[in-house]
Amino acid sequence: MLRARVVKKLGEFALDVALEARGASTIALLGESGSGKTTLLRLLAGLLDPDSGRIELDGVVWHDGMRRLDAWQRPVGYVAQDYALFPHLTVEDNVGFGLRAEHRPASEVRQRVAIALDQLGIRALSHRRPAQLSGGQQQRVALARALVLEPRLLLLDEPLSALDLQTRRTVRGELHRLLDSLSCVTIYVTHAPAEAFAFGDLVAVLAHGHIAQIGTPDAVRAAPASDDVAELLGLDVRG
Amino acid sequence: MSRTRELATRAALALGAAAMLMLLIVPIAALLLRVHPGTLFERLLEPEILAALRLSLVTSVSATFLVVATGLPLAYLLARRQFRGKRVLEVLVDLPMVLPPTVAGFALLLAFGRAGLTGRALEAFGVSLPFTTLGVIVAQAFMSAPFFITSARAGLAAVDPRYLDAAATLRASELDTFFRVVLPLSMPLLVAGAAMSGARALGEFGATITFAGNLPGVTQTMPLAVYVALQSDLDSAIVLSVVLLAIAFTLLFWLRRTAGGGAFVAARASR
Amino acid sequence: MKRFRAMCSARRLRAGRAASAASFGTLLMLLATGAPPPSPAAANEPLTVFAAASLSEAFREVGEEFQRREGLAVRFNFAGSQQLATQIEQGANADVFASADLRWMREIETRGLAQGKAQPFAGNVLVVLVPNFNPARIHAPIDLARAGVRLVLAAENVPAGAYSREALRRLAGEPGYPPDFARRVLANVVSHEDNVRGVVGKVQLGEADAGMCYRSDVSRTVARHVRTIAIPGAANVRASYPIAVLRDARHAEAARRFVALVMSAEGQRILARHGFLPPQPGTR
Repeated sequence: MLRARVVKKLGEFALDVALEARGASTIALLGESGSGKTTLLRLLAGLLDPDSGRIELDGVVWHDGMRRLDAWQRPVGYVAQDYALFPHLTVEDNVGFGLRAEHRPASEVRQRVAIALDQLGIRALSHRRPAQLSGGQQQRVALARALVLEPRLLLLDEPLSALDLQTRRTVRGELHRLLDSLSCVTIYVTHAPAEAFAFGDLVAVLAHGHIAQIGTPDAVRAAPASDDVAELLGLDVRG
Repeated sequence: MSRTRELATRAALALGAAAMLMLLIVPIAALLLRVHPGTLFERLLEPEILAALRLSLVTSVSATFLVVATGLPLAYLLARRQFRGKRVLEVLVDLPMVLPPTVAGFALLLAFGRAGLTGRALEAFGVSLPFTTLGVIVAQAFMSAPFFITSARAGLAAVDPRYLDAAATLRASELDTFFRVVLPLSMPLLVAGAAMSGARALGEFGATITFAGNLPGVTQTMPLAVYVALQSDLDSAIVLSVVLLAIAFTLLFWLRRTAGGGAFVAARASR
Repeated sequence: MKRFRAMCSARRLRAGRAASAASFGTLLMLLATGAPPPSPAAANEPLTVFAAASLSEAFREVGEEFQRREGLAVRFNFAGSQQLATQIEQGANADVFASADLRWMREIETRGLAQGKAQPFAGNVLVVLVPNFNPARIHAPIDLARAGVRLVLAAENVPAGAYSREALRRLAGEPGYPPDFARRVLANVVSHEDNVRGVVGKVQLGEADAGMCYRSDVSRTVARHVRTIAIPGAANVRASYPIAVLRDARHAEAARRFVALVMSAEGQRILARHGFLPPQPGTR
């Protein structure tokens, strides 16, 4: 169970978001570019500190006014928009990076990496370098790298936006199946309404730094809370 | 007429380049032309020359290790942290590069000599620097440090922060991230910096002779040996100079070749 | 330029290359033929005197006197005599050479680089120098043989260095001095300086425990930081300073007048004021 309330001044406006999510669910965070979506992810991951607020997962406080856990101490998985695969490491070493950072024994690392690679269907690419991979392959490596650590919170920043149309179509289905199989809280950030509806158990619409509306895809589609929200959803604005 | 201007430009370019090339090549050629290859190897094996060679290699390698070990943390701070007085620190780091070596040697004497600022403290620890090989290493380290720190800083700063963020989300502490991401990605510039620093240490003269003195086998490195030889024994001077030249050339040539080996640095994760 | 009528880019390229090659070639030719020979020196160019480092203050004063009398400035190069001799051999422009010992003057004379005969113009003796605070507690030359003394000497091929080693050898033969005295002292040497002033400097700074230099080096300013220990007359070395006009001097006449001034009563007075002894008669 993720309970987060964060406030962060971002240039012209302030991000002020409250979020709650149960395990084994995906929240699709929909918003325009510049709306603070990536910032929210960075705040949750611990790469950035909020001006005020509180972040708590499964009863463990990640951040409140006094205590805070550094990013590397949080059981979080983060897939950045451009994947940020380490260029100097092979696919195998990229995926095993976090396990080694946790000082796991070599045999355990090998085993878990192999499982993760199989799960994402990229075993054959083990010894390649990121520069030699296609966009879709890189995405899978990034996912494997994050998931092998069994995070409690998975943060995906526009996972499909870096892919070309063709690859996007192919990958979409697989990604959906993968996310469905997870038991952690997933936050899926996107600017595409279609993706939000497809992937989210809940859709949260981010506008002007606030969550303008949050609900199931059907509920939100049927009754947008405001004209702004409707516009963001790509629906006809009423009246 | 633009054609005339174009030709004039080309002529000026060629003249300028030729002048600089002459400046660089002629002295080296003059040196090489004086060597008798036969006597070169004979003289090379003479004890004083061998002693100078050995001392030079030992001290410059040691100085480079010292510079890398102490310079890397400093370079890291300069590359990735903001703090008050940072600009002053930057100037301080560059200072040995612009200080005349003899002045530097004198300053070292006033700082670390027996009668210097820290003289008593050092002696309490049983450390004596002037007239010792350790003093040579210190003088070389002082003069060559800026070459490493500048290059290291550039290399460390060039590491894309996205990789650091990724490492943080992958359970890596700052220390882990440094050794497993920052260091490998900045390695080409670190190595280049160390090599430049080593080359500078190898050629160090003014600070060494002023601070550490001149004693064969103890403080008489090759540049000092050349200086001494120049005063009365030109044949030895030629041999030593050619050896120094060969070492410097090899080092820099190797450096140029491997500097291109940072392929993975050039490649970005995104297409 | 009219010749370079370029109708298409290819010709223009060739023309450009021709221009580059022409410039390059011209520069090479200029350098290959070398610079034209130097014209005789202009009348107002200063006189160039190469003199041993120990003569720094004394000769500067002589130079000022020379300028007063002759209206010609004197430019000095003070360094170890060995270094000066080598520079002269390598073609350095100098009018006069004043060496601190006969050896390096002979080097010059043997190569025919001197004009006329070299003349001795001054003498000197050695002293042992220790810093004011005398860290190694040296009170007599024999203390130099004590283990661990940080002794700085001029290098062997420097006149002061050669004299020092000779003095040490002579001391070894004195009553009260062990036969291996010289060897033990030389084992204490921590640095070979390339001129005698380097020795003085290190002792003055307090970095060396002791050094050997000329008595004339202990000026009033130096004396503030050091203590002098005499070397017994029998063992001490009498340094002899020769001076000569150089063969390739560009101011031969003025050079001869400079030497004359050095040898004159006034010149000798100046040298005596700076701690030098008169030249020993009959030395060559």
